[in-house]
Amino acid sequence: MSTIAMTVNGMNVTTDVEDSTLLAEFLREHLGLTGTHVGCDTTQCGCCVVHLDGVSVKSCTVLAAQAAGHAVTTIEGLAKGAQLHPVQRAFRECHGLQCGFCTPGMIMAAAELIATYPGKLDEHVVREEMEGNLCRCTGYHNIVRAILTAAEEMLGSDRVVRPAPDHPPAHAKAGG
Amino acid sequence: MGSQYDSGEYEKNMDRLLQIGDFAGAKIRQQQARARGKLYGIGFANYVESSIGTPKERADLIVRPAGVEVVIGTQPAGQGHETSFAQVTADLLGVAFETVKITLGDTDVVSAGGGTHSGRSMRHASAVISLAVTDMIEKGKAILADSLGVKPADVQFEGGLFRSPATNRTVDWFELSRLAATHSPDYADGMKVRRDNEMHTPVFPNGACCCEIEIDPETGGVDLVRYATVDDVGRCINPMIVHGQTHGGIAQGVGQALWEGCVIDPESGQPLAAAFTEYGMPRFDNMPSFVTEIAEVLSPTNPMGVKAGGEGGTTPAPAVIMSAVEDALLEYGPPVISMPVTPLKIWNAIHKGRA
Repeated sequence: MSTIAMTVNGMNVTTDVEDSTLLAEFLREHLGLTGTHVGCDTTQCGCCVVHLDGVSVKSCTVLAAQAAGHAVTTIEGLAKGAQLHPVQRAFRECHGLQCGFCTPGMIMAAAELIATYPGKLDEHVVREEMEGNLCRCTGYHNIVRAILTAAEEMLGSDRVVRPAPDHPPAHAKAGG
Repeated sequence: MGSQYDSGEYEKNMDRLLQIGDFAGAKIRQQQARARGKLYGIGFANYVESSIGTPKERADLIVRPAGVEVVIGTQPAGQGHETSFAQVTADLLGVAFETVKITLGDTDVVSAGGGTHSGRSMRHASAVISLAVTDMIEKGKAILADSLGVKPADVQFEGGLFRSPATNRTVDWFELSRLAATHSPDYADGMKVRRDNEMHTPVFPNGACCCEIEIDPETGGVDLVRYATVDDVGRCINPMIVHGQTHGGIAQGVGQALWEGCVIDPESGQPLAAAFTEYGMPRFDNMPSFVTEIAEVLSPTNPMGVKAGGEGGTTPAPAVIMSAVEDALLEYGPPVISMPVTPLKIWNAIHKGRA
């Protein structure tokens, strides 16, 4: 058992935890921040991504004690009050989620990617960089679009290459 | 004897697919891929699937002064029933989308329903909601007529408004609900209609699909480089949701063809692909962007002409991938590979062909 102190979403937190407590477990069970999801518990799926001093980590393989003295941001801390983060807004606008289970980790990983990637962001880069986050519903198509939409808002259009428009013009509808 | 295909324009789907998939450019892409040392394959598949599901569905439609509620027995897992069912309800009643709340999944409230499977939800929901709305309009006419002292036949309903020309009164749904509550204690908690519906006729969503792959002959690894599909879902209530369903369905089917295998050790019975460390999932970087198009050939089997959009993405995907792999490996002899067509199987096929 250790006493640890950190900031979580800007709030100071000081508490006693078992040394074996994982950060994901600490956030969910001790602080009640259940927006961070645990999908696989083995660092494969990315549902549990949070920011540790601004860097994406899979919180199911970080000990809570390792976060002591650091700043943790979870999906609950991304919006500014009622104003959603651009990545959150873009996921909604681009239909970048269906069941929503992977979404918190996707959004946290994408927010860090956009904030830290030094070069131009295009579809290829997003797909390579986001490879550690799994989704079973969307086929990733609209998630890629959401990330590039948010990136354009956050970085400007000269840093982002958007994919071609999604749907070709429709042909004549049946019966008319 | 057999089932009758409800509707469809199969040849038109294929023609359209050749355009959106740029079939005309395939020869050039084949040459380019070969120049890069890749084996290139193109696959083409058509599909017809049967969608039916349990035949019964129930809707409770409630109009209160504060808004409309529909209680229904489907169960979404991300398919957006709350959105598309509210669109249908709002459109039929003539009220704003924002005023409609869809209640699902709570057995304290939902008394009956058929669940969500076999592409049944939008079809059954739109049918039973439209029947409930028809009943509710009759109920509304009767309530207004009663309170104004005219005959129900003298009340007209159009565009979300009830009009009584004889009394020069016009009310919308929410005013009518308030009026009803003052008129009778029966309506204190809103005007309610319960409607059950049964449909036993299958519908046949159909479509055409093509993809292009490149295989690295040194590793047997497959790159899925292009994927296009045309899906006849009948009436499409919410294109954004239906395209999303198609995207996810494609990834399910491609995964089955290329990576996903439930391997069991024959000696011990131990599952060997029990976690993401061993089980091949579709990932960001092994999926392309998709070109998906919806063809709306209305089904004559239900009031809105809905077929289904949930399974169309998946249905042709294994076939189109396997036919592309077969095409890419033609020069190595007849295909002897089974799903999932892993790099090892492809590498072995290439080397057996060379031997």
